[in-house]
Amino acid sequence: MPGMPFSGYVLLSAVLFVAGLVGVLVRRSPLAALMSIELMWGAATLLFVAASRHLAAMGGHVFAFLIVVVGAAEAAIGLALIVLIFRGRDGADVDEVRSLRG
Amino acid sequence: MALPGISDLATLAPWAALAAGALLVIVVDLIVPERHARPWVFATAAAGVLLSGWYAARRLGEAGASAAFAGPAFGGAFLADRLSLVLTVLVLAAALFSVLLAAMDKTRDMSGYLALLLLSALGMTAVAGAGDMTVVFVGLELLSLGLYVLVAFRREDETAREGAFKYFLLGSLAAGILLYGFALLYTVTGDTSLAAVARYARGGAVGPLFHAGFGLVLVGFAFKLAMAPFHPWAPDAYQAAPAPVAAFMAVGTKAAAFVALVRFLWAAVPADPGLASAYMAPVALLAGASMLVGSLGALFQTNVKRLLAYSGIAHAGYLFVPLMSLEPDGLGTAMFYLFAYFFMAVGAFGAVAAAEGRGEPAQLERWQGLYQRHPWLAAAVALFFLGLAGMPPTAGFTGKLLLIGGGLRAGAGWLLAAMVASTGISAYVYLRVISTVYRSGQEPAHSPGALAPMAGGEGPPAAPAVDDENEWETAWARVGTGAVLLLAAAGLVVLGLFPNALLDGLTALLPLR
Repeated sequence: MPGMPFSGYVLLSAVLFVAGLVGVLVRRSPLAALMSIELMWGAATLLFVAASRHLAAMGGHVFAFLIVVVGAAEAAIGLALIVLIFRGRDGADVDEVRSLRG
Repeated sequence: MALPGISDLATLAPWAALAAGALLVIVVDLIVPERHARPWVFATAAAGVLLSGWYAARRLGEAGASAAFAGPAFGGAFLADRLSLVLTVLVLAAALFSVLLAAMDKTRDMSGYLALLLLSALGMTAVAGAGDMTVVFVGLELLSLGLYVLVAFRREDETAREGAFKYFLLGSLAAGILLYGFALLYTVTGDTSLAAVARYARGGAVGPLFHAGFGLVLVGFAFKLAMAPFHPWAPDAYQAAPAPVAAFMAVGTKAAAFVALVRFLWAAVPADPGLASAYMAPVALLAGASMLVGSLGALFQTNVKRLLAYSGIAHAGYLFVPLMSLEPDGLGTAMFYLFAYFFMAVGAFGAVAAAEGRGEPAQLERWQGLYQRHPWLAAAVALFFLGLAGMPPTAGFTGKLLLIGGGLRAGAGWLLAAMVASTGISAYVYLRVISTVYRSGQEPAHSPGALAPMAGGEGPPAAPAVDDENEWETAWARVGTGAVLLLAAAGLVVLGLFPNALLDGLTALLPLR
């Protein structure tokens, strides 16, 4: 890997992870929250692939594929739930989902 | 690493049977004409669970009580050891009870419901047997993805959609945190197996990336276990879910995530005593916070399912009391309590399901005078809530006694004090439920056995025209629910009076660290 050293990848993935975490906590749109979560999953995938390359081991590559596959299933269910819940409402805002509390 | 062979598949018989059952449920629904599909679908699901349980029990019998027995399959990625088998039996029992309770559900698409239930059960057993981080992740997602959909199953109900959405959002967040923790651990250990994590943790200096990875994985598991402060999804999801699903979630998810977390702690807590206590401190904090949040939160609940969710949060905390020194004896005690909690929670949620089926929504004030309308149901509620409160002669009492003994041996310290305080507070909550049920209601009693939901209640959708088949099905559903309540009550009392019958089988589930 010419160019970026391995620590650069660790740092980049950490930045992506924190950005995603902040996004989930701050953004009120369910779609933005979902995208932020995807960003966190992406950060983990990046770290797995970079570490796998760095260590010359295959485990991380396998894990990255699993994350992609499971992430697709997760997104399918998530989007279905968002459509189900916000159909017939004006906008999509997580703060409006509040009939359950206590 | 040897390639997986036919012996691996033989080891996996219990889990293969479960997966086959889940797929067969869908196939049966496609083959059998729609009008008659319902009983066949239920029978297939129950048969899959029973077959899987038979395989698991047989292997458990072969294993005896020897600590040496271990059945690593697929190069150690899946551990079919006694701990896995015991947990599989527990999860299968929960799945079977949920299938029986689900007969009350009048929803049309039962094949999807049951297939997802079985697949979630498969995910739970996979998580508990995971010897590799990839299997932990895939198992956790398999159980969660099924449950997200099951919580939203009554999709015409707005609260169901909302609860499922919140559960989904926090569940995926937890998965993201867990994944990043795994990635950090992989970066420093160089392999995805828990064995590699254990080798690293015992092999001298432990780096900062490992600390961070451990912390993130712990947070991810705490979300799945609904431990405070990562619990807020649980009350919403439990309230939104159909009662059989809530019962299954409460027991299955908790048990599976607990066993996976224990396996992880076994591997990742460093050998150095100072560092080990530093690693166990956040676990103790999570457990203590769960106990207090769970018992205090339950004080103000008016919905019985929500109340049981808070009770589940507190019970997740109790489980860790004997584990503070990470010894196999402590794990045996915690597993015993898990079985006790299984009978109490399945029984309590089963009572909620039975009440909902009789047109009594899970609102506490609507349960007033339940003993006049349904005396047997009221007796069941009293027994299960006495168990949750930790009263003799139920397993709740025996289990708590064992936990406290285990906690003393493990040097749990302030965690024991928190447990006693939390038990005291929750006892008030549970006794309040019992006293509500046995207080005479002022309003005229509803016609017994009426299936119509009360106005504004949360009962199931009204059953339309009661034709012959429907009546027959309702009768079967009553039998199923009755059987669940009876078995859970019997288990709760028998386990309370004769704890050694189970406890002897729970020794040395994991080797000494």
